[in-house]
Amino acid sequence: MAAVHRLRDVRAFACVFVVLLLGSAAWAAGAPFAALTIMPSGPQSYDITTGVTTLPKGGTVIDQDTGVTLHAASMRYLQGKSIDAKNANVSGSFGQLTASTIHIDIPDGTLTASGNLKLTRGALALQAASLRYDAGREVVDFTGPVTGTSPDFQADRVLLDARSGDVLLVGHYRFSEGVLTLTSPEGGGRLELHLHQVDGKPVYDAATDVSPALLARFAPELH
Amino acid sequence: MRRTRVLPMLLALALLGVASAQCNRGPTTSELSIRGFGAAYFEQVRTDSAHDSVEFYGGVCLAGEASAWTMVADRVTITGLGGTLTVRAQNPVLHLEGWTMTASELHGTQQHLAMSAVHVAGKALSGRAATVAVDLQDGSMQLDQVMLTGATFTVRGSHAELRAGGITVTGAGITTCTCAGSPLYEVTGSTAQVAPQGQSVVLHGAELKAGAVTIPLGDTVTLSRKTLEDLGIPLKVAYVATDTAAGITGTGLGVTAGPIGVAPGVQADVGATGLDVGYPLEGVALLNGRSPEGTFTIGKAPAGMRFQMTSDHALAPWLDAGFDTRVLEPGNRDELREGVLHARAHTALPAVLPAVHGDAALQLLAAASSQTPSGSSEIMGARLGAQGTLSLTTAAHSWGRVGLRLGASGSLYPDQHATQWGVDVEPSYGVSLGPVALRASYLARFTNSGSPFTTTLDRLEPTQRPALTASAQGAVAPGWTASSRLAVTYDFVGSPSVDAGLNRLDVGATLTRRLGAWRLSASADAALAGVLAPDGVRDGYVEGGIGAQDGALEFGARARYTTAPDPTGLDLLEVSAAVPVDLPGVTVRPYLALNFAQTVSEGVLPAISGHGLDLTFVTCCGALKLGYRDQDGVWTVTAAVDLKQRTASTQAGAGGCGGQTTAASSAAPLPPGTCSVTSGGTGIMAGAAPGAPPP
Repeated sequence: MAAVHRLRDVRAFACVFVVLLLGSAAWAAGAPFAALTIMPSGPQSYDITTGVTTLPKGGTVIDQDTGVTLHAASMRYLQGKSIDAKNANVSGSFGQLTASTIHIDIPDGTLTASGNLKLTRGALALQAASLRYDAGREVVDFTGPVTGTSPDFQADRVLLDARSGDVLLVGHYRFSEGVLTLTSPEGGGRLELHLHQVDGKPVYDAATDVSPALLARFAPELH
Repeated sequence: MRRTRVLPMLLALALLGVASAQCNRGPTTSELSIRGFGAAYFEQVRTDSAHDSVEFYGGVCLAGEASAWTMVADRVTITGLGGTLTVRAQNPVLHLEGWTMTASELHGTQQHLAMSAVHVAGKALSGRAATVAVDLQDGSMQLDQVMLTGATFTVRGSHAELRAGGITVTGAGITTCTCAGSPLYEVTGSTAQVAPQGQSVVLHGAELKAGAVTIPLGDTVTLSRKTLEDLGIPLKVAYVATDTAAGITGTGLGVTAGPIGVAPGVQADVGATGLDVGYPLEGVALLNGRSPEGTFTIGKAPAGMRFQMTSDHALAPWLDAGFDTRVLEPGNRDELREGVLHARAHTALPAVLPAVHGDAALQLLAAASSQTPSGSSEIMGARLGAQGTLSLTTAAHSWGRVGLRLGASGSLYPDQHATQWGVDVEPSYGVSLGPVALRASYLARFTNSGSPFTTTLDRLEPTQRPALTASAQGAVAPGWTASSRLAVTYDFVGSPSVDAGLNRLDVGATLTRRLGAWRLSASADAALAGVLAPDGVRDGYVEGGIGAQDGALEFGARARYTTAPDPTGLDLLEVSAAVPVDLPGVTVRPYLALNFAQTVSEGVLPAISGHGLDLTFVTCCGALKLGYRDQDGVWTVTAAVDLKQRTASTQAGAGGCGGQTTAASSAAPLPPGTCSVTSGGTGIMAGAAPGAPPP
């Protein structure tokens, strides 16, 4: 009987939590990570002195604007400020991401990840030391060393256009495709990996002469 | 913009001294390795999965994997990445085996590269080819419609194969001419081997073509700067006076042209004797043939009809056998007709003593001979003979070299019931002590002189003859060089023509001094045998002379005092001069020598003791020098081509880099069309127009 009462309390608190979130969404309508729906997987506690809500059993966070969905084993949430998650899976326009730690800066609209970081997006699969996702511009900045398993590459830094799927290798890099193995200049350089379809299959074509459009997409990261 | 990228790339490659199979990377150079093909270094790359290709541009250098080749190009596209690779390049410069090939386009595979309208530059030769095919596995290059120019020659051919060891040209034509249009002359051949540095060419089936005239030159002809400077033109001038004492029938002044190739392996000598007054006019026509199986000569020689044929066959590495046939008709010194079968065994002896080398030979012959000595009746009969020789020689030591020759022979003459035997023993010693060379020998011949024939055939005469020769040569002071010579022969036995005694005692010395452009010389010679042992046969005289020469300008003076065989006293007091005179298109150098000996003794006009004329025509093919000289009745005819003197080239822009090309002086790539030229005295072609494809 006591358990039934505890479950009723949780549900009641969750409903309040969602309402609070909706209130926040109304406050920051249109900004990435401003319309979050958080569904705990277990109990949660709210520290009234800090405003931090802790989900020790983790849960799911869905951004209604960007579609970014976060599943984490544990999570802390500071209303209107940030979300920190451990052992998380994140999906969005950038693909499928797993990482040991995830930090979402709500005011900045950015997501950073590190630790056992892996990302897959269609024909792209890579591992990196960390990433920073600008949800508003849909640009992912991987810092290295970054190792791609599909296609086969290594780079100091990788930028991903989450809208088109195009990739830019930055700094020292190595790119292999079939019998080709491309190595960057000694001083480093840039290599564009352009995603397109050939015979219905997604493939990456490499070019050192990076297109102006892609450079414009990555201008904030490159300057 | 692209140019600004290409040039720094190429300049960096050049400055870094790119080896033939290496492309050095600059700080902005990317690298792409292509498994099974090589590596590419470039500024920009773009892959195209839809077309299974990769494109490099902005200054590209490819280094081959299979062989030592590199290629610099503006743009390179490789396709067939999933299977058979093909490569296509724009404005490629290919470096391979010391050669640089420049073209507007290249295409190829992992095994071959092909280019068309190619400018070719090597270390010493450069030119153009219609097509070039490169085998990347062995580095060989096949060129079609090729023309290569070096410091000495221009070589053209329908086909050429370039390898590190040289060039093989098919359908070859060689010339030294740099004139526009067709060369004044060309030496053609079915094939030509051009030395790697282009300094010489060996032509097979050579013919000289000048206008409508074609003259066969022989099976194998070597052309080089040296052979051109001494052409040895096939023209012989000789004056043979009658010498009854020596049994010589004079033929007077004769001029013979030859050998002239008339067919593969066959050469001809044609001319005439008795061109001067006092001797009958006779024609000369001889055919000489040579093949691996033997030789033959047939025709009319200056001395009379002649037929000779020799055939030799190697039956074993140590055994040869064959036959000789000789027919020398009247007019020769000894009229002779004979046929000879012979076999000769020879071997090197095993080393019996350390540092002693030995050879042994044994010859057997059977002959039927007929000889008619001058002024005698015919001798005819069979000859059966055997002859053995043994030669032993020590190795060369600081103290000299010792040798010993032993010979033994025996002959039977069944028709004359005669025999002849002979034994030769000839020890010798030679040594070189700095500038001094010395040789001493002693020939002892024991024989019964039993041959019914003369010494010109096989008669032996007993001899006990020591001989000594010595010479010395070297610098005696700064700018001064001197040479001296001594020859002594003493005959203890003598012969029917020469008495026993001092056979020869000749001494001589020459002193030479360089004084600016002038070469001054003084010489003295003496034949003392006729002085010390006058017998009416041996020469005895003392002669001295001085000379001065500055290029073609030549002055000289000689004096000779003769005591034997005829005591004529001062018989030569000569002054000579050769002075060049430049005329339009030709330099004429007459030579005249006047003998004032009789002027001094008898008050008569001086006699002409020598005369000559040299003509030098400077052409775009080189300076052609033709001349003759008659000095004391000895005629010489000279012909030479001096490549240091050539009129200016008129082939500028013809696609070749004459002389040394920096494009080929190292393996460093240069921009396409670049071709710098050192136009020194031997440069014969101007450079190609930079960037322009060869015509």
